[in-house]
Amino acid sequence: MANGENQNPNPNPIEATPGAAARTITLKTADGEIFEVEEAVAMEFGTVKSFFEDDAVSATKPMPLPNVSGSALSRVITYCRRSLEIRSMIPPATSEDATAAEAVQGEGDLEAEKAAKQERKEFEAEFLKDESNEDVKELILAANYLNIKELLDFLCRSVALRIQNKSVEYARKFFGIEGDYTPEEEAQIRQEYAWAFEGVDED
Amino acid sequence: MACRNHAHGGTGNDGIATLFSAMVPAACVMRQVAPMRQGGRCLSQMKELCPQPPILRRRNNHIPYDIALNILAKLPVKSVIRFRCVCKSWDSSITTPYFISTHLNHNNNKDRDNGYVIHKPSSPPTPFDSPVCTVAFDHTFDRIYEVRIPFDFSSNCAQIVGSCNGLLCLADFRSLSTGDNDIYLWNPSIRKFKKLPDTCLGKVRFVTLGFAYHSENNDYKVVRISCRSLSTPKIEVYTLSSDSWRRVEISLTANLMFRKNFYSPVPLISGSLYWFAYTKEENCRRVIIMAFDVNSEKFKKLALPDDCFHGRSLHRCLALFKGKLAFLKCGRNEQRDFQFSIWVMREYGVVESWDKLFVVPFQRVAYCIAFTEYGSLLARCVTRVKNQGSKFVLIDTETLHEKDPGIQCTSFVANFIESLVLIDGANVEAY
Repeated sequence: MANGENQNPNPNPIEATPGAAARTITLKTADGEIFEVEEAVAMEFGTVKSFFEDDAVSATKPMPLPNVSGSALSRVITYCRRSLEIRSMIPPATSEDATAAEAVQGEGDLEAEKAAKQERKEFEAEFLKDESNEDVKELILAANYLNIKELLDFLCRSVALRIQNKSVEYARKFFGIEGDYTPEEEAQIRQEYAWAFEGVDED
Repeated sequence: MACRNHAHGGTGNDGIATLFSAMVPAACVMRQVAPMRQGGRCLSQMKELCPQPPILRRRNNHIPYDIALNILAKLPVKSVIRFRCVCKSWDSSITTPYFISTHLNHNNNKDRDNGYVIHKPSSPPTPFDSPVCTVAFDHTFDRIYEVRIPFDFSSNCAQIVGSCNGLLCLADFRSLSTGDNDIYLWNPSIRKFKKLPDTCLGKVRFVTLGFAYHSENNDYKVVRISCRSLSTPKIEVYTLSSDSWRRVEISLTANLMFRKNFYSPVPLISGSLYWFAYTKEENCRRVIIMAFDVNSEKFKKLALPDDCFHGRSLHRCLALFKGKLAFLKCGRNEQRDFQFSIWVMREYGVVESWDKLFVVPFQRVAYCIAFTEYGSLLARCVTRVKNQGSKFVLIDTETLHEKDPGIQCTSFVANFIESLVLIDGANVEAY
């Protein structure tokens, strides 16, 4: 039985709101690992949020996540924690709506937003650096199952960067797809769009 | 050949309403891991709408199809085109209007700090050059790459009529006076172009063109106006989805003379194209703005800012500035110095909301070549120095910081983005 806090390389968990007890939510992965996660982080998971929105459900029993492995969940928790931290760098008055933000934002807010953007960029560049394609795929499936839009979007952008210069066969392998063009059909596409096949990485 | 959904062969009129779920296979080979988030359609409907799902190789760890498409929509255009070869269902999905729009929106939002422009010299190239457009950053005009124009015009000098969603409209610059009506739609990012069919009006003179995206129908239109002095203008509109021209009547005052915006494209703001026009009232010639609503195909008159008539106006143009209509005028101020004044219409269609935002001083007379969406003014300054002709300068209107844009002659300039628009359709040629 492993505690998520110990596995997490991030030494700075989210501060609990003063006066309230730090609520944690217990999650149980497919391979039997138990994770205790701060409520704020766990609520980033759409699936978990819906599960607990039903008041009748008690927070004492661990929520089962049959489609997520321990290693994937650990990475997901790391991402969401860091993402929450970065978001908290921007003062709450800033709204998502662009025109309102222009009217209300002071210089300090703009600076904070810029700093947050830079932090996020650096964090995201590091996060998947050493992950193999298989690991990234596993993370995508986990983020999809847990319904974490921001993480899923980031993972998709990262995969796009990884495969953008790759060959057709590489893409087929990555997505596990069987090519269904006849050799003649494929040759015709390659000829018609010859320019798109130039400068592609060797497999 | 692979089955394709024709993006512009007439199916474009469904608008962007089609859901991603239309492309998600109803039955996946792998075990269901994702809660279906694209609600609204029942399983049997989805089975009818969606193309055959990809044939999968192994049974585990597959990325669901809707996420694969999400990834594809974040790829550069060249990669998307290449990946048409991966399998037939990818090819079908890539060519749907919904995917093209999703991909475009991602490109639009990606990096708001780095927009592009595309520009082209207005003088014909020497016999040894082929006509070329340059794609550059809109802040600095630093060159990124060039694209060669894949079709010819009789005068060998093409004009950029407009640019919408990565689709350019080009016409013959010289022949607009003589009446030749070759007009092309071109997407340089995917190397496709289309020559427009013959117009209704045929060879007419004193023509001005506008190019617009019709958002209600996810469609594209070219507006062709012919008007000679103060009379009833003749107007026709080309619609890409129907691939045809149609006459349009103008119900307002007949005594109008539309004026070209010269080198910069007729701006498209909030679904309307904006031209200058001269009108005669009580024997007095006035300049007004004519707004053409792309959806209703009706014209509306708009007044210029009240305070713009002081002093002689040496040069005027209309432009898009951060989503709003901008009016630029070069003239002399009270101290007889040259300056460019820039007004912005804060509220769409409300004449009282004209706001004088910037004044850019100049040494001598300057002509506005372009005013980028970002707020850079590209101007041609006339110098009196012998043998020096004109000097081109790029000015940031907020900071007044100047830069040499690296342009040698007056150019057509338009905003630019890479997109998949015109990937398939009637009479679309690849090169």
